[in-house]
Order: sequence, then structure tokens, then C-alpha cells
Amino acid sequence: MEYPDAAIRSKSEAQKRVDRIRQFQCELRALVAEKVGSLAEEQIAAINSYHDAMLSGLADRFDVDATHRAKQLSLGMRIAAFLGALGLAASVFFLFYQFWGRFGTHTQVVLLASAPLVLLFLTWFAANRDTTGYFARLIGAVCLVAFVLNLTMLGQIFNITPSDKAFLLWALLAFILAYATDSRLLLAAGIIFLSCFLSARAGTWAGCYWIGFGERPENFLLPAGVLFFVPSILRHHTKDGFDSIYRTFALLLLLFPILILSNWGSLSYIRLDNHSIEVLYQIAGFTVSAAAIWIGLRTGWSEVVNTGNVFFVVFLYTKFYDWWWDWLPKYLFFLVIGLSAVLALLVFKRLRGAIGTSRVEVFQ
Amino acid sequence: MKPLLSSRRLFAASAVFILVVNVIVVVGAIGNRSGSPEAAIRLTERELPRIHTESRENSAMSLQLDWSVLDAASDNSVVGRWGSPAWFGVEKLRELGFREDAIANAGRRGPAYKHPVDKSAFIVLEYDGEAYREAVRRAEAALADAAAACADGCGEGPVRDRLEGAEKGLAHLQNAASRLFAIDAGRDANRLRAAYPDRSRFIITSGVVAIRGADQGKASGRINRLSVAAIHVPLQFKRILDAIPFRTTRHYRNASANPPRYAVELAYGGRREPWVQAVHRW
Repeated sequence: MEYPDAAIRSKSEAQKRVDRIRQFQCELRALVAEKVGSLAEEQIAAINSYHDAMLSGLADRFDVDATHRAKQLSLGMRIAAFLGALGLAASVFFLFYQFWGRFGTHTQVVLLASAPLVLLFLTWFAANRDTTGYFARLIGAVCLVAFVLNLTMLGQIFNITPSDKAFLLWALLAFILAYATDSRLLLAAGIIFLSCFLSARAGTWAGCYWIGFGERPENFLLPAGVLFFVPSILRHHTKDGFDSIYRTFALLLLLFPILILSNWGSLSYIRLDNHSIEVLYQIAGFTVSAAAIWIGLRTGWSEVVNTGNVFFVVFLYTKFYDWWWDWLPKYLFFLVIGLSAVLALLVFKRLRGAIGTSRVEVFQ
Repeated sequence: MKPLLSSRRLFAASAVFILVVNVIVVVGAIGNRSGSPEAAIRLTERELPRIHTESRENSAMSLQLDWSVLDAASDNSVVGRWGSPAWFGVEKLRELGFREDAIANAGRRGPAYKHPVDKSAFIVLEYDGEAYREAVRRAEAALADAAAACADGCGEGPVRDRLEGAEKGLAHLQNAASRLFAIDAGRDANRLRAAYPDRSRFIITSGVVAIRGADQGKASGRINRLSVAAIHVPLQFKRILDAIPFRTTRHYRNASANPPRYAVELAYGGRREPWVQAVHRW
């Protein structure tokens, strides 16, 4: 079948096109009703015919939501799929613990290795049979949990010394499944596992025991750097939301450690007195979050803007607390908080107005 | 032409990946157990009690490798794993790779204080050796002191409590406490084995060490944990131990009435990872 718009490559692009079509139809009806103007009947018929073919094609290819009610139901399906994945994963986990002690070592190994393979097959089967993708993502998540269980329990059975390499293995499977099933949940899991591995490695290189990688927040700066540039290297035209996930986690892994170190310099590798370290990281916190807002506005990355906003506010209010909590009366302290929020609103309003003006000028 | 990252290829890659990882893990475990064991030691319920956290949700069984350290203070008769042994001083900390500034600032909460980080090391555990006998001597000395304080009668009170505590402590140490003591640590397992060649009395296994706050101006170290302290019991041995009632911590304190009821042949392989070779019930 020939699709009117072969340039659409992902579900989000398709959904945006559907939404624009619906909005166009609503706006056209409003213009006709207000007697502003109208199109000839042949033109309306041609447009409607074109749009009907487009909507049908997009529904076939991408399972888009044609109406607002369908959108609400899709959201419900996503929540149900997420809860289903959590529940089934927990069930698999406890099922093994309940019965594994009744089997010999060989049987345990076979069961543990088979579980993720069977679930992988079911994931593949679901991906081929169900165009919505919800079932494939649900079973894929359970498959990942089964693999985590696989390695964890092999480690217990054979009394294997714990190693950070397990994080890398779990991350690899999570990434493969995420790209196979277009699952942002699995992508997030893969990013978390990969971050743990890279942080543990950074800690080991710095001379620490790998399990203690969280005791030096600077260990997370390496994975933050890696993750932020992944969307620049790997193009995700057909993967909805993947770029956002990478960038959001990259910023979280960058800004959370900075936030922690801006308050607890004793957790830093830097060989300065702790107060100087805290000051340096406070400056870094404001700079990085402001830079994130600026970059996000320039590039249209809303997740970067939002994350930068949140952390800028957190850094600001943390400073307010440090400066004034002890000596300002509480009502004045919270008044300052409120007034600073109002000031921020005014600044954003002005920024938004400037962006809106520039768009009008472009269209003129 | 199919894209490089098509779903079909990704699923195939996942299957191969899972298989390969499992093969590598199992082959590695078999490799650890192949050849002559690095250590082969017979321990009892005193050193390998059943894990106290077992629940009805977990049908497997594990044994906890119980060990202690001999505190540096010669008059300290309390035995546990949280003390700082005499051999774990500044020189040993340097040998294990702790930084000079971390050693110098240990326990001092000044402007340059850094939250201490753990390091991995190989730990030497001695079974029923000089460290254990010294612990018993200290407990006997503590009992003698407490008895001397009670020589003219001590009624109820702290003196009586001290005497009873010393009696229980000695009985516990002689009959129920673990005879495994950590006596050394290092970064080179082969060098440690050369220093402690008896494979039936010395276990060399990986663990985690840390700097302890400075006592009397000198930093010392402590062993936080062993990397593998919970040892899985295979089904054929689990059936033997299932017939033995589980003991709680309270039972272990009542040492004279609760002697050990089983012995375990424990082996360590080339990767310093343990496994149960046999279980004997008494």
C-alpha cells in the first residue's frame, strides 16, 4: 500500500500529524461557522479524502490515537503495562526463591538459563503478533528481570565473588531489548545498569572497592558524559523518546552528584579543604543548570530545559536555606522563597514573549 | 536490505548473548573447582552456622562463614569481627594501598576530612590457631580477674554481672564460638599463601577492608566483610542439614548446652571461591 506521507518514521511523528489533521478540521469548521470564509466543495472533498487515507495509513503503520478518548485509553494501557511488568517481574523473582532450593545444581542452572531464553522467545512472539507493542515491552521487562535473577542466583549457587561486570551484562541485554521492542522502560534500566558499571569502574580506577562507588559522587560524571552524547552518535528517528531518556539521565547523573558535593565536600576526590570544594560545586551547579536551560531552549530539548529548571531552583533554594534559615523568621524566609518564584515567573514570561515575537517575525 | 539493528537481529543477538554469558559463568565456576583446591578445611557448626535470615520465601540453604579478629588491646577479651587487630596498623594500611593523607586524617573531622572508602584485599583466616588460643587465654584472664573481685562474696550488682559475663564468655569461646580468626591481609594472594602454606588451616579469600578512626593518634584498619561470606549448600547436603533443627542466636549464647552438630568439608578453588565438598552429621 502506498502511504501519503512516507517521510514519517516514528509513532510520535505520526501522532503529531494526526493531531494536526484533527486540529485543522476543527479550525476549518470554526472558520466556516463564523462565516470567515470557506473552501469549495471539491476542495473539501479532496482534502477529506487525502486526510482519510493518511489517517488510515498511519493507524495501520503506527497504531496512533485518532481521538482524545483513544489517547486516554492509550495512557491507561501504558500504565497497565508498566504495573503488569512490575508485578510479573516480582512474581518471577519470588517464584524462583520459593522453589529453587528443592532442585539439584544442574537443574537450577538449566532453569535459570532457560527462563530468560523462554521469555525472550515470548517477547519476540508478542512483538510479531501485536502491533501496539505493549505486550512485547511487558514481557521484555520480565525477560530482563529473569536475566538479572539468572546471574544473581548463579552467583549464589557457585559462591562467586561479586563483580561490577554483572551491571555491564545486564545493561547490554536491557539495551538490546529496548531497541528491539522500542521500550523506554528497558532503555532506562539499561542506562541505570550502565551508569552503575561505569561508576564502579571509575571508583576502582581511583583505588576504591567497586561496591562503594556511590560514596564518591564524582564517579557518576563519566557515565553522564557518555550518555549525553549518545543521541548525537546514534540517530533515533524511529525510537520515540529515546533521545529524551538519554539526555535526562545524563543531566540527572551530572547534577545530582554536583548537588551532593555542594553540601558534602568530604565525599569528593579533590584534595582541597571541604568548604572550598562545596563552593566550587555550588558554582558548578548554578552554571551547569543555567547552561542546560540555555541549551535546551536553543535546541528545543524540553527535557533538558525542565531538568535544568528543577535543579536551578533546588540549588537556589539550598543557598537560601544556607544563608537565611537560621536567622530569618520563618515567615520572612518563605516570603523570600515565594517572591523569588514570582520573579522567576516574570523572567520566564518575558523570555516566552521574546520567543513568541521572534516566531511572528519569522512568519512575516 | 535489512537495517543493521532490525528487531529480528536484535532478538537473535539477545539469545546468543544470554547463552554465551551463562556458558562463561558456568565454565568459570567449574574452572574454580577443577584441579587441587587452593584450600581444603574441615569446619564445624561453630564456624558455619546456618544463615539466620532464612524464611519461608526462600527454600535454599546457606551457611554463614563466621570469623573474628583479635583486638589489638591485650586486655580486651571480647571477641568479634569489628575490632581492629594488632597486625592491621599503619604499615599494613600503606601496604594495602590506602593514601597517606587518608591515613593521617583518619577519624579527624577537620576541614580536610574525607569520608573513608573501602578497598579490596585478600584476607587470611586461621582455623584453631594461635589467635584463637590467645582469645581463650584472654577470656580466662578476664574470668580470673572477675573471680578475684568476687573473692569475698559479691551479691547482686555489677561485680556479680561481670563474673557471670566472664563465665559465659569463656564457655562460649571454648564451646560455641568460631575458631576462625583473621590474622593477615594483603594484595597478593600468592604471596600470602607462601607465608601461610598449610592449606588445611589457613583460608585465603577476598574481602573488603577500611580505615578505622585513629586510636591514640594512630590509624588502624578493620575488615568490613568477606566478599563471599554466605556459602550455598547444594541439595544433597541440604537434606542432611534439614534434619537438624535450626538454632537461633539465643541458642548459640547458651554454649554448654548446644555443642556443634555437624562438620563441613569446605574447599576453596583457584578463584578463592568456596564450595561445600561434604557434610557430616554428629
